[in-house]
Amino acid sequence: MSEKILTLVNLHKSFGDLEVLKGVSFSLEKGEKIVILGPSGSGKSTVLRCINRLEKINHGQVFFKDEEITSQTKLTRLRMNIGMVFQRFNLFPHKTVLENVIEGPVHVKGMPKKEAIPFAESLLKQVGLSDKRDVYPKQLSGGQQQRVAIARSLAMKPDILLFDEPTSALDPELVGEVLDVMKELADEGMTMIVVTHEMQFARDVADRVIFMDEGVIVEEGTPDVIFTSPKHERTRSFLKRIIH
Amino acid sequence: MKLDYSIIIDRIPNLLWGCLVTLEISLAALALGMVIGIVLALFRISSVKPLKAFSMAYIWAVRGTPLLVQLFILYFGLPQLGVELSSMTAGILGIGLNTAAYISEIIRSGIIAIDSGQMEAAESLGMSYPKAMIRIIAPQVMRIIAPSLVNQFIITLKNSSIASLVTITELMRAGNQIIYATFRSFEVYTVVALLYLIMCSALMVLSKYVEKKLDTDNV
Ligand SMILES: Nc1ncnc2c1ncn2[C@@H]1O[C@H](COP(=O)(O)OP(=O)(O)OP(=O)(O)O)[C@@H](O)[C@H]1O
Ligand SMILES: [Mg+2]
Repeated sequence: MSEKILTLVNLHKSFGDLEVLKGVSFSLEKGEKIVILGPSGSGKSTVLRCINRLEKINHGQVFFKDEEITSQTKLTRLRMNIGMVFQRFNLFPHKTVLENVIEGPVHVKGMPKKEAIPFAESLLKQVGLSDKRDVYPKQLSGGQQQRVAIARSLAMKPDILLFDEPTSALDPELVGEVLDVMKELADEGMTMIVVTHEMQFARDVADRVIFMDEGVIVEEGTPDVIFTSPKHERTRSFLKRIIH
Repeated sequence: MKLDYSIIIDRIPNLLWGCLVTLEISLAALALGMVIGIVLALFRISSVKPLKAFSMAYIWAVRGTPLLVQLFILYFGLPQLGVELSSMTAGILGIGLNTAAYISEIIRSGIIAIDSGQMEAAESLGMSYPKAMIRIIAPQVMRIIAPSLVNQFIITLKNSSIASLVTITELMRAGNQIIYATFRSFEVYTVVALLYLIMCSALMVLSKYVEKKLDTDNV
């Protein structure tokens, strides 16, 4: 048994009267890759956002390693250890690619620039964008922006990376380049939670697939089990819709 | 009576001195207005109810009353409560506090215009709220609001003429004093107007430059 790196216990989240998460629990081992599937509005993004507390949790607990994340100082450490990649990239438009990538290490961790720049350059090389280091985000394609965003997250040397539909804002021909980078990360042993509709990616990369609907986990299992013999009708009908 | 601008020539130094005082009041008021305006804008967007309410009430009161009345309360009203302000202090304070309300609205509109994903991206790196505000949000806000800010600077510069009514010898009052001595209202006021025009034009040129700079920039 390898160590649990993240544990969610009975998460509840409401926006006003709308109960979006109705008791979500799961845990993640180091190096594990989870793909979360589910129809629009089922609460997938909200789960990710509750993990790093971009949303306040109404009820329930988040444990990072063995420590419950409650206080603000712990929250900062949690966020430094959990990277997030957004659907809409959210690069800092007033900063160059390189400045985007070193922002976290230099201004959150206090790494000297001398160290951060070569490190950032190596990350840009990893995502295939060495030649873009001095360019501004708006001069990049969506796929390139998303790869910079991944490099920016990696620059914090996170233990876990969260991806919220990282390819769904991209033109179809740009999806592949981002998925390739993510697959490489997976191969290197990064712990990942990915919300995506890319079924092939889920099959190739996920250790476990979680299917959510209406704020609860309907079922979870290996990609094989979920894709070929899902137990629940809701999972079946969702997969049918997604695949055809 | 024929127009005769020659009598003003001698008194040009008085008017130029007035210009300097006008600039002094305006700049000091703007600096004060910026600082308080930023604080008010942060209060306004904060989730702390009393701060939000204070900011809203402040802006409401300032925008709903004439600057002249506000200034008179500070200069003529406060002494009754035992607070004596020099005319310069009252002038700068009055115009600054007034400008702050408008600047805070400009800043707030700029902050609202920034995609919420920017703050989230910063926070997800572990950045604190104040640091994210300064490093990520503020530079983007500045780019958006620069034209409106310069516009507000122009308004404040012109509004500073009201300080003449609390006995500050800025440009307007310097002009008035010449008129008391010469009875040449038309000539003096047109020259005063011209001097305001020159100062404001400098700001307009600055505004055009800033806009152009932002246009060609990468954001
Ligand atoms: N800030 C918010 N305020 C109010 N309601 C919200 C907010 N964020 C999300 N919701 C609602 O919560 C529900 C779940 O949203 P969430 O974004 O988690 O769904 P999702 O599974 O990620 O969907 P999608 O596939 O469309 O991204 C939706 O009904 C959404 O409208
Ligand atoms: Mg979502």
